[in-house]
Amino acid sequence: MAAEIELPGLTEEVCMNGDGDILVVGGGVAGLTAAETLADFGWRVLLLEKQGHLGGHSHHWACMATEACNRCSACAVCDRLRRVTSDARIRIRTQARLVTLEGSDGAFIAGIEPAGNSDSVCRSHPNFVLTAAESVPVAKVVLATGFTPFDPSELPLLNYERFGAVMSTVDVDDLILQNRLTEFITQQENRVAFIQCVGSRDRERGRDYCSQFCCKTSIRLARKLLFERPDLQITIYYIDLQVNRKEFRTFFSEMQGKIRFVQGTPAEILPAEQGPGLRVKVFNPETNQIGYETHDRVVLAVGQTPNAGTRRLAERLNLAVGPDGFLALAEPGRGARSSRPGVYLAGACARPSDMADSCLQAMAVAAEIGAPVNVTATVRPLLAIGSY
Amino acid sequence: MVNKSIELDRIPETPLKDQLMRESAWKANLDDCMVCGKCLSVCPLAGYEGFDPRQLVRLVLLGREQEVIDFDGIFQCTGCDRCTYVCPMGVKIGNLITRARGMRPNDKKPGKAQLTCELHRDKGNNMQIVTEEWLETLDWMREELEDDVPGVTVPIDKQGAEFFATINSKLPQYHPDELQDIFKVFHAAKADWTMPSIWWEGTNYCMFSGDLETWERTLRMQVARVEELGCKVMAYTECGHGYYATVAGYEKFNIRPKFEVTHVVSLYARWIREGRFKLDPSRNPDLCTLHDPCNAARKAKMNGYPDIIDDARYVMDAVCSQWVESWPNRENNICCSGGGGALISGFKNARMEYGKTKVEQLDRTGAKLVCTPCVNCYDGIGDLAQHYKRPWKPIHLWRLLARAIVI
Repeated sequence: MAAEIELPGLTEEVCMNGDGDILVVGGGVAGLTAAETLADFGWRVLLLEKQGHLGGHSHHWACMATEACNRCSACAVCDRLRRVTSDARIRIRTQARLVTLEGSDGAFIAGIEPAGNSDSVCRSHPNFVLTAAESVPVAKVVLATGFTPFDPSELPLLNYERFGAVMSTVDVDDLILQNRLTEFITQQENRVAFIQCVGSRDRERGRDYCSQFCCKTSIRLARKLLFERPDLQITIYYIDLQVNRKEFRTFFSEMQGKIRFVQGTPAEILPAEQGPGLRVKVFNPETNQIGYETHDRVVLAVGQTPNAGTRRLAERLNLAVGPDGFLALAEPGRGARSSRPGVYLAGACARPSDMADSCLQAMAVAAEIGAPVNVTATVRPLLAIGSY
Repeated sequence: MVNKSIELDRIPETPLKDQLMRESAWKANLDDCMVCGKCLSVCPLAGYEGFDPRQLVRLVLLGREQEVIDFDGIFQCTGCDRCTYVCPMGVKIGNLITRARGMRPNDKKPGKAQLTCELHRDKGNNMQIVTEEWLETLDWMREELEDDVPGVTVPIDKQGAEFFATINSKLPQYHPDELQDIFKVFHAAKADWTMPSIWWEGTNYCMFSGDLETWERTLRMQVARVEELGCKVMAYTECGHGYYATVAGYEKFNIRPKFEVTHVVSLYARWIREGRFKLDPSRNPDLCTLHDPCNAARKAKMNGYPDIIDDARYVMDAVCSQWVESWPNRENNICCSGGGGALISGFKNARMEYGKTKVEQLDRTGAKLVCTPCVNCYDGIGDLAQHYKRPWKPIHLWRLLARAIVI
């Protein structure tokens, strides 16, 4: 299989040269997977992470298990971390960023330097921190720089900053992670709404895409909330539900009787006419009429947006950016190559992706790069994490 | 409205849909609608007597436009365009409403929607004020003002004046004393201005009745008058829809005047920045809030015309002792409930019903005065205050400014 993959411009010298043969930028679930898979192929890998910790967003993602595992993939990143940090072929540098990329495919010189942020450093691996700038010769570069959750304060009518009872899915997830879910809602309150597609599917504001994960996230969060508080009345306002893997369909069918799904996503959240609570104007499918519905908490299912620094990064590395602000693939749907030969894109830096997709894309990058010449690879079977 | 089936064996004529699909000035992007429901969630009218902006889009798309044209809801709509503003796909529901109104035969349009346009066309203003009477009113108001502002003048038809002022015809008809505020502001600014003896009308209801022909004709008549006088700037005094119907109308009808159109609020701000007034904000001691008129704020901004959002705030800071923002504000503001021609179409109950969110919004500010740089909003908010017996009342920005000006 490996012999059939074309390796343009790759020479033996390059493979054996330098401290790391492949540079992976970003230590989230996509970067970890790419690093691990490429190391298995026989490459030496230099993995850069801007923060003090590896794991990216997935590291902060709370386990959604209720009485049983809900297959949210949150735990999968832990396995990846263990394997990547104990692999001698992978050199890790945290609080590090890629600043320049000279040369061309097969013979790049990467300029890396300390990222200069004050993020706390992983206690188990303080020696990973990059302390001085370096120039590193590498054959290939994999970018896995991830995404930023949409900031709902960009939509003033949702009153995210104004009302404490309006939260984002990220906020609720943080409560679960910190074991503070009981603070989400008081015992006297029980009406919860989720609004889907916040910051996604908005062509007028440059986000003409589905973020792929938010419907599933909301349904899992709703189930977790119901597990903690069976008396909650949960409504999910949606445009059209993207519950598109067969395993998830079963989960969704099970939740249909327990959660109220209402088509139509309100764009404005108003205070209740009297007393506490929040009001939204919606088309009520039960009464066939438009009217106000009152909820005690409204959770905004925020989508994925490109990182603020994406354009700067693209300029520095001479890469194309798509109209949506994500890094552009040379041929979308046909490989993971960026517009610059020898630079590959994995995960949400190129398109909104959930964790399982990010892993699959990282593996696809590894498959496209293939094994190095003259190296006997110890190939572990490719394993996608999580089944949806 | 929704329970009839479509006869598939008959393909209906769809002139409304064709206009909205093909005419570039009226393109409504109806087929991009993904039924997300954001429009109905921000619409003050949605839910009242079956009004549903999302459904209107579907009906037109499905070839059932006649039901839309015959539906009185399209005339109850205040044309605030919040639906269009929040639409993630750029569907222009406002265009749909305007063109659907235009498809209603003139004699079937409710209230005075069409009569107002025809009077505007035939008499030069929609209140049928003849020139003699107009000039008498101007002179009478000027004379009364002279006690406070000695030497104040109102130049009539002054050839080559920099500013050509428009006036909403409701002022001479119902609130002539407010003309004095405008005179005082122009006088104190030492502006080279003129008040035209004809074609001074500062409204344009044709946009609301959907009568494109009359809309274009009235605009062209006024343009000719401004150019005859050789004025450089049309100073559009506080009337949101009149301003918007003018700047948007010039673009839609490809009218290229030899002068600029500036909303008077932007002139106030410019003159204050230039230090032309001596201002005493303590003369406006009551807590005030600001209402952003839909046409001069949201609609102007989203369609790429100069808006008054920041300028109005700059003026408020300079002329009021204390004022608070209402929420939501700026381009997200809630309609006064008097816009879109609703004031003249005779649907008072509808207006009072869907004005409820406006009332709640203004109540939350605790303000005594609601500054509305728009004559229509002034009446819309005045009606709500009266109907719901509220402690606040509307006030124009020219009045706050004129009061603060020390002569």
